[in-house]
Amino acid sequence: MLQLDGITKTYGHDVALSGIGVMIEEGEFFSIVGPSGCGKSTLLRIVAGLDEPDDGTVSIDGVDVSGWEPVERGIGMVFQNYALFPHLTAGANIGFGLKGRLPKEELRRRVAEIAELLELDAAMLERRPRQLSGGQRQRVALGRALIRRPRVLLMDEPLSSADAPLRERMRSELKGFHQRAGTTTLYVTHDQREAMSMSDRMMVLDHGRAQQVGRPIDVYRRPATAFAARFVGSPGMSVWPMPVRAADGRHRLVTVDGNPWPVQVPCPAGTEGVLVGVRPERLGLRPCSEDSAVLHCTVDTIEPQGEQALVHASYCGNAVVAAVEAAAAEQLGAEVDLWLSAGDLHLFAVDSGQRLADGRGDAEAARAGSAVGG
Amino acid sequence: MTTLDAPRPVSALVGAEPRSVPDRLRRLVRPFAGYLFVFPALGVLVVFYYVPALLLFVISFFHYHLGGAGSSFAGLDNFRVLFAQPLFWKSLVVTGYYVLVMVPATLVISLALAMLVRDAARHSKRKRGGLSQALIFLPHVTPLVATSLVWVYILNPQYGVMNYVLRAFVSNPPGWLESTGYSMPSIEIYSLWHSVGFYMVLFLAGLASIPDRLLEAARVEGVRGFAAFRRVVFPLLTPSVYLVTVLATVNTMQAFSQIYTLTGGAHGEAGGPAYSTTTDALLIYQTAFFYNHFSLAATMSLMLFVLLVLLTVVQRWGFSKLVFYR
Amino acid sequence: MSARRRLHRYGLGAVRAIAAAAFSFPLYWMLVTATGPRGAAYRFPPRILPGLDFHSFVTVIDGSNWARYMLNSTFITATTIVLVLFTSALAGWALVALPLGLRGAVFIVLLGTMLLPEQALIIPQYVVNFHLHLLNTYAVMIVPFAATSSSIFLFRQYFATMPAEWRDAARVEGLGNLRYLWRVAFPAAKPVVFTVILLTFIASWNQFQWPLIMTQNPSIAPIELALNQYQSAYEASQRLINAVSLLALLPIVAVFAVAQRHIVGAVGGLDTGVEG
Ligand SMILES: Nc1ncnc2c1ncn2[C@@H]1O[C@H](COP(=O)(O)OP(=O)(O)OP(=O)(O)O)[C@@H](O)[C@H]1O
Ligand SMILES: [Mg+2]
Repeated sequence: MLQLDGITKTYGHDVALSGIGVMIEEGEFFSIVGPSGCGKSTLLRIVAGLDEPDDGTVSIDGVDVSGWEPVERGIGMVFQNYALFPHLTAGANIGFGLKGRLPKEELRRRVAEIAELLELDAAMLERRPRQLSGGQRQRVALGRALIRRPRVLLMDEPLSSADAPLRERMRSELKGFHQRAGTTTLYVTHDQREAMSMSDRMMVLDHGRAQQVGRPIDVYRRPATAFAARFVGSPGMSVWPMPVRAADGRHRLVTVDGNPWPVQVPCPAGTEGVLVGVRPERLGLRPCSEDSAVLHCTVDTIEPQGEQALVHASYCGNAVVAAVEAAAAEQLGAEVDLWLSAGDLHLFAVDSGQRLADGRGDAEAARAGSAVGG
Repeated sequence: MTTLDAPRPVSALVGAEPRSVPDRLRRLVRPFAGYLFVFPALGVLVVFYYVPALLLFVISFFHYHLGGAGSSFAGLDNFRVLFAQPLFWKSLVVTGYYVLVMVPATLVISLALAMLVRDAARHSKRKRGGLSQALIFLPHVTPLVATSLVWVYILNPQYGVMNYVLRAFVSNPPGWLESTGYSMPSIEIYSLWHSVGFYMVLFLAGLASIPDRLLEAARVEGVRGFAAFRRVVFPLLTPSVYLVTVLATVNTMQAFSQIYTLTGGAHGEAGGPAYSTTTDALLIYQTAFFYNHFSLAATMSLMLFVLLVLLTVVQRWGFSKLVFYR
Repeated sequence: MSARRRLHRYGLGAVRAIAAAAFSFPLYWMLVTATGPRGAAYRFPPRILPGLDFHSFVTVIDGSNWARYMLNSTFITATTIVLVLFTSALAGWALVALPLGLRGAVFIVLLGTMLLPEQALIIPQYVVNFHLHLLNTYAVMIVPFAATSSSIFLFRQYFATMPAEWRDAARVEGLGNLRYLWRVAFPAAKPVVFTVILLTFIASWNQFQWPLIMTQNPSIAPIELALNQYQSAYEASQRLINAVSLLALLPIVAVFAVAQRHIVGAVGGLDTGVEG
């Protein structure tokens, strides 16, 4: 439906995007997520036709639309701060693009239709953006993007200007709306929680490179790169380097003080180390299985979160986060031993950050994948 | 519940424009799109301002007759003739007298008014100069001729209200616009009345940019009243002083309408009595349109142009030491 | 509050009131003179309160071409305002958002006329108008003022502060530059539009020297220029002179009364005079 192929864009010497390719299906809610400055908006603008890529193509329904104006591509777009026109009423904002292109009656009908879909009542349509709440503004912006029944709806951080509770509400509103309307949606956000909770699939972007494309649960369970591992999850994985020792043809992880770990590493000969990642929820204060390993850490801070508490600790100078029971966390002194199960480890190459094939992390992902039939 | 129609092919979208303009044409036109928009304004300004500015130089070096027929190159003839005219030098003196009175008077009066009005704004609950500021500013937007006429009446030596009041104090009040000695001061009074409100507003803007904090700090140090003005306010106000000086100079050097009207232009007497109010602008006007001597008028205009540039440069240089920019 | 401070405060208030009264006096005096009985303008002691005698106005309005002059002024001013808005908004927009080769040079040329002394240009301007056959036309009082550097500058500055996202949003909706300008940028620049209207109104209504030089035909004279003729025609009657001056002044005062704050801000903020 929407296909990107080798999209590359540079600003001077800065590479904003490099070789982005993805195929987005009809009706899909697809998120692009990454930290600030990673190129999300640039990618969205290229899809919209507001910017031209240096290289690569955008196709919609199999038609290469390179060089087409946005309006010719049949896209609708919601901007970061909504970009509503302050001198026009909400209704006029929604009908903005069709004014003069449709008969007045028809236009009014279309605006009313969209307003109903978005649950904006008639009184609201008479107000100017300044007189609307954040949530209402978002719906007006959405209405403006939807009124011409776009093939693809593009949204650039539409929730970023809302405060936390409102964001929560608007998130579910957006999701509900997508389920009703079924418009193919490309959604940009820097908040991985948004992407996780709303998307059918998502792309993790860093420094203009696609780190991973997949269903949120797959990205969570089986991050393809160390970056994706750190970025996805609340909080993300703790990732640190560990030495690797080769013995009788096998590679094993060792701690800095030389103790071997119960984990074998599938890596080419000559590898001296790997990046090791583990989810905070998988770090505990007690051993939990026979192949458990321990990290001797110093406690930096403890961040209570109600039922649980996040223990921010240092392991040989690397930051490690563990989610433990709040009651247990209160008892902690300056030092803590954090235990993990070998099967919960995710391994990544030091140089490329690419995932290395490994133990239980994979097995679990595979199980989960087959359970939902994907 | 409404739902959107099923998605349609791109070509069926309402309002989606067919791709009519070929990309090549778009690329070709794009870099020049701006000029299309700029053209009307650029055209007007070039034809009516920049071409005349160039023409000024040309005409000054020609024996020019309106329409161009019979014109010939004159070299420096026009300048020689001009410099031999006592009236030209007289007009420079008159203009200089006008400017030298107007600029300092403008500075002092408009700054004083600004302090007065601002002080009111600080004490009033609404934090603005209100009515008094508006009334002092109002003359500036009034048409020069309409308001000059009432001043002609006010300053009439026989039945004007000015002398009616003065007679209570002096036995022999001045003849104002009808005397050579007081004609220029009359014009200065009118011009000050007309313009100080404007300069007051400029000073008010300058004053508003001085944080109250600084004055409070000075007050804590025991510096207040006039000392605070001299040591804190004025130094911070020097950019406004510079601005007002430059604008007042440029504006008074070019005053025309009020002098024309006050000195009886309608009766063909502008600049009198006895040339006592014939400023450069008036002399240029009369040379061109009474004596039809366009080359000479252009030469004088050029001199005025050069003089204004010189003055601006000198003032810039002079103020560069005084002005304190934050 | 101490007695000294109270004295200071009320003393200043009194000085301020006197200053305001002094500056208003000439305008007040016009009213007093125009509404007084015949001949009162030449008698002592002078009347100090306005009368209720409006015959002078009737004489001016009925007995002269007053309506024609007012109409001329209105026509010239209104046309100039429309044209200035048109040219300046277009140019300001081009300077901000359009591809424009040599943008810096164009910018300087468009704004540079603020530095040209008008008195020095009036002779060659007359020559140009002569060659363009504009002398003695309405056009000569309109076209040369149909674009001003200050208005272009104001629009440029305002457009530059508008979010780039508006432009993108409109582009997504299929609006070209011209339609974006007309439907979004211009209406959203309302404060500048007001400022330009007010400044142009004042400058255009008040113009005198230019029509004095560029026109001879009384039937196209704006009211300010016509006052010149009234000055000779009514030489014998201060009452009538003041009546007609007051009538010429009225539109300006009325607009000032309504938009005083905006005018002060606009004129003061732009750092230019309307002297001349
Ligand atoms: N017009 C431009 N000129 C130069 N560099 C640009 C331009 N637009 C974007 N960039 C650069 O390209 C990179 C990607 O920018 P982009 O706006 O796409 O980031 P983003 O992921 O949307 O970030 P954010 O979350 O802050 O919106 C950044 O490094 C940015 O500095
Ligand atoms: Mg962005």
